[in-house]
Amino acid sequence: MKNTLPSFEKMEKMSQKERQKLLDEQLKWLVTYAYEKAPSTKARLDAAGIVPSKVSGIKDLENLPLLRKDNLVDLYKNYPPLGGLVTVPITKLERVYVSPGPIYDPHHSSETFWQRHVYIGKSVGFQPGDIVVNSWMYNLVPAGLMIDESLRRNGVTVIPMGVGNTELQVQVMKQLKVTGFIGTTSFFMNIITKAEEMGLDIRKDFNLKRAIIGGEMGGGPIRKLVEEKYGIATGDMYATADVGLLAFECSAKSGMHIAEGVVFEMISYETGKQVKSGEVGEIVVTPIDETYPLIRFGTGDLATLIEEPCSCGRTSPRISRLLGRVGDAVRTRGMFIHPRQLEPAMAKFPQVAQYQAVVTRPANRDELTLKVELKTQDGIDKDKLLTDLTTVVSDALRIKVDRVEFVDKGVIPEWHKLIIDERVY
Amino acid sequence: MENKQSRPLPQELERMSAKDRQKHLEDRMRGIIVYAYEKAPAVKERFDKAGVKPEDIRTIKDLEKVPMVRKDDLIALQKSNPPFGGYLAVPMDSLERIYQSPGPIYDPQRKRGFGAGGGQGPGFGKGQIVMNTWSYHVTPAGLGVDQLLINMGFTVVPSGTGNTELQVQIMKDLKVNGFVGTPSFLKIIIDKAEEMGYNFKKDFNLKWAMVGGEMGGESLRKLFQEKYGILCMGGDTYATADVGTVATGCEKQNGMHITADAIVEIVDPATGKQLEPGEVGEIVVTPFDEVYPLIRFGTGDLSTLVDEPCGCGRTTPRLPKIMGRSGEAVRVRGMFVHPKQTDEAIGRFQEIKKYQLVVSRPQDRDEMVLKVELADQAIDKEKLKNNLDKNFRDLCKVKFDRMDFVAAGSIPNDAKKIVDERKY
Repeated sequence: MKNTLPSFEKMEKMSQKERQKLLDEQLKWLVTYAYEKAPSTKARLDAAGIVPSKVSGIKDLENLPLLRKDNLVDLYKNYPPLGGLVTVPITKLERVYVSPGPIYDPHHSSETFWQRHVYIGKSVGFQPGDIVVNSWMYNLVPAGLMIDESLRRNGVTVIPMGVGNTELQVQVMKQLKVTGFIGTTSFFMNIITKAEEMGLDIRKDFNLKRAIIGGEMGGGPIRKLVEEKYGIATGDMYATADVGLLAFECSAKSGMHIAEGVVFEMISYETGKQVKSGEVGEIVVTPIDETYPLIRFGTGDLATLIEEPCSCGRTSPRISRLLGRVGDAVRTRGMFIHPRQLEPAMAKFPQVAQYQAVVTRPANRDELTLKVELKTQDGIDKDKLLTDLTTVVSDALRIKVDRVEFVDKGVIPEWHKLIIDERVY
Repeated sequence: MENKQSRPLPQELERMSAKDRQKHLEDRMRGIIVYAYEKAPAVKERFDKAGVKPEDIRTIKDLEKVPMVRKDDLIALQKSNPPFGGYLAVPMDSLERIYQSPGPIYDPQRKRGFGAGGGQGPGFGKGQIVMNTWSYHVTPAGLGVDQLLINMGFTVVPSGTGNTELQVQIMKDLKVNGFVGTPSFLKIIIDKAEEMGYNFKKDFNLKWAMVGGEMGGESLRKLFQEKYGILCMGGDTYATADVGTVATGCEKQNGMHITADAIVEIVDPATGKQLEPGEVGEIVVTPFDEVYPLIRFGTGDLSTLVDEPCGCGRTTPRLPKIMGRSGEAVRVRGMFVHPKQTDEAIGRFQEIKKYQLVVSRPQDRDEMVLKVELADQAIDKEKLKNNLDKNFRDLCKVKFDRMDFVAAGSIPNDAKKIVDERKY
C-alpha cells in the first residue's frame, strides 16, 4: 500500500471535516510506514510514547514534540547519510540535494508529493503555453529543480536561468518572449531595473504576464508597483527546502492557501497548542509523502491563521504573510542563515573578540551586515581582514555579506544573539 | 514515420555488423530528412537552395549533396529569425526547457535528452552516487548530464561548481562513487581535501570520474588514476550543446564510440566530401532528433574514424580523440596541415624569425609556398631549405613546393600562420 489522495480539484472544495477525515486516514498509514522504514522517526515516536497502531489522526500526535530545522541538522549527523528520515535507501533516489547544515534532502518520488506540486504550479496560474524563467538556484539546493519539475509537469516551457547574469536575463526575456518569472522579489526588481537602464519599455518590449515572487517577507508595495506600473500579475508561494511547496496565493490575494495533501497545524510557540483563527502561530506540517515523511515538521515560520472562507471558493485554511522566525535562524533573501553556520566560520578568526550578523531592510532589499569587535587594533591589516571575513562568512552562509563593520568594544552586548533580524516592513 | 516498435535497442545496435547497422541508420536517416524538410523551414530552405530533394538522400554517401550548417550559420540564422533560426520542428511552447549557450545561441531541450550515452541501460548506474559539478544554470551542460545519469540509474547530487569545502564534505558524507565535471575542478577538490587533513584514497570512496571539457586533461587523468585510483571512464565523452552526445568512451579506454543515435561523418571541411577511415577531417553530425533536426551540423572539431573492432565488443567506429579545430587547419593535397604542426616543424630553426604558409590552387593543384623572414641574412639558404624541407615532410606529411625569402617586416605580426587562397 501507499498514500493515495483524490483529485485536489475535488479536495479543495471539501468541508474541513471531510478533508480532515481523509487526511487522518492517510496520516495513520504514513505514521506506521515511517515508524517501520525511518529509524530516527521510530526513535522519536518511541521517546514520546506514541504507538503507531493507536494513532487515528493528527490529534493523537499532540504530544509528539515538533521536528525542527535544528533537529534535522543533528539527525543528519547522527543517522548518516539521510538522517534516518528517508524511507528508501539513498541509491534508490534520483537525486540528493544539499541544504545548509548540511541537510541532505532527498528528491521526492511519491505521487502525492508531485500531485501537490503540480497543483500549486497550476493554482498560481501557470499553464501549457507559458515560457517561464526560473531564477531559483538549481545547484545543490532543491529549490530550482523542484520548481522546474513542477512547472514542466504543468506543460510549461522552463528556462533554467538561476540567479545572476542580470543582463543576460533581460536578453532572454525579450528574445524568447518569456511569459512568466519565478524567483525572489529583489532579483525580479534587479532585472526590471536593468531592462529599463538598457532603454527597454517593460510593457512594450516584454511579454511578461505573471511573476511569482516570494521567498522574502513584505513584498507588498513592490508587488503593487509591478502590477500597476508594468501590468504584470503577481503571486506568491510558500515553500521550505525540506518539504517543498506548501502554500500558494490564489487570485483573491488574501493570504496563502495551504495546499491539499498536507496535514497542517498552526502551533502557538508559547502554549504548544493549536491557535485559533486570527492568532499567530508556527506553521507545522506533515505532508502526505511516503519518501520523506517528516511528522510534525515545525517550519519555524510564524504567520496568522485565517479560517474564514475565501472568495475563490477553496475551503483550505490560509496563512497570512510570514511574520518572522521562531528561534534564531533568519531567512534572508530567501535563504535561512543559522548561528551554527556562522560559528565555525568565525572560529577561523582568532583576532575577533565578538561578532554579530544583522539583517536589515533598507530600500526593500534584505541587507546582511557583519559587526566585528577586535581583540586589539595593533598589527591588524584591516583591509585584508575585511576581505577574508567577507569571503569566509559569505561562503559559510551561502549568501553574500553586504558589509563588514568594525565596531568598538561595548557596541555588541556581551549576551547577544549571533544573528539578529532588524527588518521593518 | 518510422516504426518505433521494430527499432533495435542501443545495445544491439552497437554490436551489429557494420552492414546491418548501416541499413538501420540509413532507414532512420531517410525518415528524419523527410521529417525535417517538412517541419523545419531552415532545412527546407537549405535543401531548396542546393537543389536537393529529400528523396535524393537515400544513403549516407548521398548526404554529401547537402550543404553543412555550422555554429556561425546558426548564430546568424537565430539572429535574423529568432529564437531558433527556423530549425525548431515543434511548437516552441511544447519544449520542456530552453537553454542558452555563448554565441548567444538558444538550445531547445530534446526528447532524446543529451543523447543515448554509451547505450547503457538503467541498470548501469544502479547503487552508485555521482556528483555532477557542471552548472545547472543557463547552458545545457548540467541538466543534460543530469538527465543522462538519472536515465542510467545513478543517484545524482546536483552540486554545481564552487563551494569547494562543501563539495569535499558532500563527497565524504555521502560516500560519493563518481565525479562528473572538469579535471581541474576535481583536482581542486582533492587538493582541498588533503589540505583539510584527509587521506583522499583512504577517507573517500571516489572510484571513477567522467572528466572533460578542457584541453590538456591528460596529465590530470594520469594523476587521478595512478595516485588516487580513480578510474577515468573511457577518457572522454564528446558532446556539443547543439547536437548532444556524439561519442562516448568505453571500459577499454580505446577512443570514443560514435552514437547509434545519429549519423556521424568525417568530412573535408572545405568541400563537405566524406573521408576514408584514418583520414583526419571535420566531425559532421545528423542527429535523429525530431525536436531540433540539424541536418549535417559541422562541429568544427577535427578527428578521424577508427574502424577496427574494439575489445569491448561494440562494433561502432571510434573517434580516438579531438584533434583540433577545423578553422585553423588547412587541407592540402588530402592532408590536414595545422598551425600546431607547422610551428613544431619550423620553430626549431633559430634562423627563421617569422613564417607564413600560403596555399593556392593554380591549374587544379594545391600549391604550398612557405614565406620566411630571416633573423640573419648571412646564412646558407640552400642548406636551410633542405633541412627544413625534410623536417616539414616528416611532421606535416606533405611537401611545400617553394620557399620564398621575404624582406623583414613583410609578414605582419598578427598574420595567420597558414593562409588558404585557393579558389575552386
